[in-house]
Amino acid sequence: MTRFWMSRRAPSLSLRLIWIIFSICISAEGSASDSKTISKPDDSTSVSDNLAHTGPQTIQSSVRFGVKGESTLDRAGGVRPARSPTTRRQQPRPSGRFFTQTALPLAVPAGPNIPIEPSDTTCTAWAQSPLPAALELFVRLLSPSGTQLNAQMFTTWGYDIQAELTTPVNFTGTYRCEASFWFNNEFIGTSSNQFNVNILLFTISIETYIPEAFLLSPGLNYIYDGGTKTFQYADLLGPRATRDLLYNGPHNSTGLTIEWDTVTSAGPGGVTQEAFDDWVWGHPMKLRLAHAPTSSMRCNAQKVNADVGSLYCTGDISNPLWDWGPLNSIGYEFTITLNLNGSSPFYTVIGNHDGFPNYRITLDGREIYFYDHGSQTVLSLGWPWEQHASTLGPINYD
Amino acid sequence: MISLFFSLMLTTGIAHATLHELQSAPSATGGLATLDVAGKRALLRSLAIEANQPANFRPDQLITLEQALTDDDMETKRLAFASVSKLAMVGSVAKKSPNSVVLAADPAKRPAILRIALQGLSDSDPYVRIASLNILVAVGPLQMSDELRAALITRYSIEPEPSVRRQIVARLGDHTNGGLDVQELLVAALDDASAEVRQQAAIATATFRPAAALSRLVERLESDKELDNDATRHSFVVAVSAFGRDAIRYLPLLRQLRIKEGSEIVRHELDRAIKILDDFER
Repeated sequence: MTRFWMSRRAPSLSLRLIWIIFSICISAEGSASDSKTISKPDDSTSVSDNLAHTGPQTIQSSVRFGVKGESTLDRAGGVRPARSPTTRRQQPRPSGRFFTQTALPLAVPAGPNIPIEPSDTTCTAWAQSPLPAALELFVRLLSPSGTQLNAQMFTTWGYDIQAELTTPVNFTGTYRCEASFWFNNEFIGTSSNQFNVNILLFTISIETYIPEAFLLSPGLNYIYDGGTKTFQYADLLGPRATRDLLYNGPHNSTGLTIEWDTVTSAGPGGVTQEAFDDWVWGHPMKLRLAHAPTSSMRCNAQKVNADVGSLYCTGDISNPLWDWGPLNSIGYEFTITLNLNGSSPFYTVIGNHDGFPNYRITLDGREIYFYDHGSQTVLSLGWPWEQHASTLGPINYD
Repeated sequence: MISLFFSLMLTTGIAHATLHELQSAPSATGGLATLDVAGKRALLRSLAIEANQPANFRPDQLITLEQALTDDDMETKRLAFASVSKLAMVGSVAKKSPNSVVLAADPAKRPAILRIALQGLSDSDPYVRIASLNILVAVGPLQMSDELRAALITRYSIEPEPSVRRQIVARLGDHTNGGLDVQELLVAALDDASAEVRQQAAIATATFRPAAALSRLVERLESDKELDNDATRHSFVVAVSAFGRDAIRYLPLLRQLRIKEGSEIVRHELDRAIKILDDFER
């Protein structure tokens, strides 16, 4: 923290009376984000310089960097886009005092180191004058990386000016709300404050896979590879977010399906090495390969109430090389609900799926549902979805 | 607590017994009509799960399914089509492999089922249309009949549902010898509005390799028309490489596509295709 006072010769009483006192207040509620750094103007004048030009009066100003709820006077000076700040002396001259306040959004749930809900953040700045004058405010929101999320110049003639910028907050980090002020075409200074945001974000993934290395087709003439067949993940915001909870995704993908001829390719444990290494389409060994389409894989997020949000995901993915539609498609529907009410937040998984293959759901990398197909075969891929998922457990934030 | 446990056991036992009785009831009483909608759905659901073990499926249960194929309740009807198409598929395996299971309840031996499936190709429900298609292909000869092939080609041209069009393309690819009419449809399907249909068409053209398909595949890859569909792009690259020597002239293009390709999966496939075509060139 830095604090300094600038003292010049004492002003006369009359001069004091004609001084105009401006105050600029900036408040940030919620959080902000986006980018583009405002460049420092070539002839920018530092606040202290500006104030020095003001005249012989004693001027008080405080400079506090990085202190939430305190004023900040930025010595780097402000910027007025497409217009150079002037050092031409204007009449009357204001003193500059800048105050900042920060009100963070509601934490969910209460407790130490608990992330907050993302929401639209409003950065507000205003200035007042006892006499009509040309008042200008340039307000901007800066992301944790220092990039400019939103910026706007506000201009009026009168006694006061107020400006608001609203921007959604998307990332964890320290955000900054900043305003520069001009009075009668003269740059006065910049005020800003910063605040920390820790976004409440959950990553949910749904995976289906064939644990066996190889699989005989229903036709018995072909061998198929095992491994991951479908994979779906999405990032979900907490239920108090002011926008769509489905923050990122869903990202859908399918594993490679490979078909071998049983007669020419079968070997110990599956297929021979020669067949495995054959990548030429068609007979005699490795016949075909393809990724299944992901068009049937979908996720929707829903806010149930202020404490509860859910993600509904469904898929119906066929073997692209032996496509019998619903008869041999990997089918599922899952609803993963996050209940953040109270001091013991918990999740639930409710859903239905085929009896084959294996199904696995993770929340932030931790397994929350698992199904092993056991003795069930590909014949269990047909409709209806005979397996029912129903489980719950605690949510841990760390 | 103990009484609660026993009451639960008892309830479960009763439920199973009731379901078992239900399964044999329709054939004994002459139809599903004696059951309400909930009863029919419960019965058909249990039959659908039992169809996972086709060798144990009984002929009287198949008769129940046959009746349910024309039921007014859509879920009952869908469950019946799902079970019959599963049994038909397993039955078709029996034709190919002497070691596979012989079904006591084989839909191929029920003419009424085949008649209903033929009508089902133009049913209002896409699920029924797909299941009908699967039943007809499964119970027929290994190579589908000319009549069925012509019916499917006609159906493709008027079919609004992409998943059904995709099934038609898949069936024509797997169960025909790729005659001229089929090849024309497959080439046209490379420009289908649905990405999954185009992908299925690419797989089929890789098998039959109609000359007109190669330039269409390359054109779509080159013009970035498949930019949003990794799986489709992957299949298109595979299909191009499947043309072997005929595709060697596109090697420079594939190398260019490799440089700008964003998907790791497709990049991998492009590497493979370039290697295969390089080997042909040597």
